Amino acid sequence: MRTPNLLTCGAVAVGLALMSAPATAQTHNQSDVTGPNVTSSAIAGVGTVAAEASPAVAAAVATAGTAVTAQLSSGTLSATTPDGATVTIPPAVQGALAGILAGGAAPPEFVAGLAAGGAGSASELVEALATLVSSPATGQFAAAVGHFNALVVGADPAFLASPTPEFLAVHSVLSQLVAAGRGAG
Amino acid sequence: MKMRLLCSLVLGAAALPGLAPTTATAQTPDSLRAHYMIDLPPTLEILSTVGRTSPGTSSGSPTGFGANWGDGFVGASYQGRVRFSELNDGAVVAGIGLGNSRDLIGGEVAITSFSTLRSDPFQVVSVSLKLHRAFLDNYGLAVGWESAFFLTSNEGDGGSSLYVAASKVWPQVWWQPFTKITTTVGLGDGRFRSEEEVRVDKETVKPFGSIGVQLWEPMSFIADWTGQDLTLAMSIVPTQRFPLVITPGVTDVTGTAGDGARFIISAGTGFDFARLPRLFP
Repeated sequence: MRTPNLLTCGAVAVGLALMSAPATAQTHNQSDVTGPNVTSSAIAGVGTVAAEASPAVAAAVATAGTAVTAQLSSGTLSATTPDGATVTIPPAVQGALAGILAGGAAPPEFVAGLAAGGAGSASELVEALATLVSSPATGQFAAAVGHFNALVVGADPAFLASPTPEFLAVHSVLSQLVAAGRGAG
Repeated sequence: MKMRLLCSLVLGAAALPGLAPTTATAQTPDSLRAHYMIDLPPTLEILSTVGRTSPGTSSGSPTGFGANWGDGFVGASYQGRVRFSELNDGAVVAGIGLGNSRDLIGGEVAITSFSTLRSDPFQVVSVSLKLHRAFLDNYGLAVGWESAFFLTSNEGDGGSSLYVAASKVWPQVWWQPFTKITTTVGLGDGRFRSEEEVRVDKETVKPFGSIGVQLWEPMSFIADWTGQDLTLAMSIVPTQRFPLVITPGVTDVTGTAGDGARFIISAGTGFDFARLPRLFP
């Protein structure tokens, strides 16, 4: 009975001695930095998650998307100008935007209507709008808003004072989706 | 009276849908832009660490993202053997986030003990710093200083490293099993130099980078060039009930550094440290 205990104690002692001994081979070979990165939150996956809204927010945005689609399909989408006036959007423009949001091709005249202000992000905006309502990808909503804001920043003041119906339609749609998400958040 | 009625009719007609002019002559360019700019609320913002745990996107190299105020993290690493030796090695890290990379800038402070398995803990302890900013379209940019200073007289054999890293999360829809891809490119000195440059102590800056392909929600595949050699790894989140990220891999696979491929693994967990006081009233 004593022999196993002694062996066990001996093994433990040797193990502890090994564990506590300086690792002479681990100098000058960069052993501290040749493994996983242990100097940042990346080790825990922190900060690497793309935007995924809470279920309530996602549901609210989806509901707003359905409502927007219905407005576009029926030609009842309206927009508000800076001076508070409400304007209706031509049915052809609404139809084109409905098609884009559903994944259809963007008519050249629609892209031209967005690019009329001189900003260079019109095509990127249209690309980000594709399937935005029907099957949005992670981060796509934020990308669409980002490209639209870039369009606003880069647009000629005269264009903003008298924007095209395409511009107003996209602004109206994105604003409704954002308002829905904000309300649910 | 007739004049007032006429004015009312004109104003009323102007308010009818479709008849209002789209020009805003009284507006300045700034007020026009302010009207049309869309403010994205935080609940729909580009990056969030709240609610879900995502597998890692790199193994040995840093990324352009980081922890924000409220984010805490702890982790441990293990090398089956270190270069030119059969001895294993390990390290532990704990850190917190400061600021907010989405609003202005985020900061990260991490304390690492490089002495764990083969010597007493906390014999080699350093503090690492990182500043990072998140941008629209899931871009992240960071500057960091690994082991900016040591809290112990023993500074180990890793030294300090300055770096800048840019990352982007690419949401992709063209192949359903892959949910997103994260790429990182960076430049750094210190450990990011080649093994030979470190050996002769040549002061230089070298590139590093990683690609993390999230295969499914809880798993990603990582290819990581640390500046010295390539690491291939998998990062796994075993359960969404607990934010544990485990990243096993094989490093030095191309033979440009060290003496052959080696097994490495890390495990880490993030938490909201702002909520900790509620757990310990």
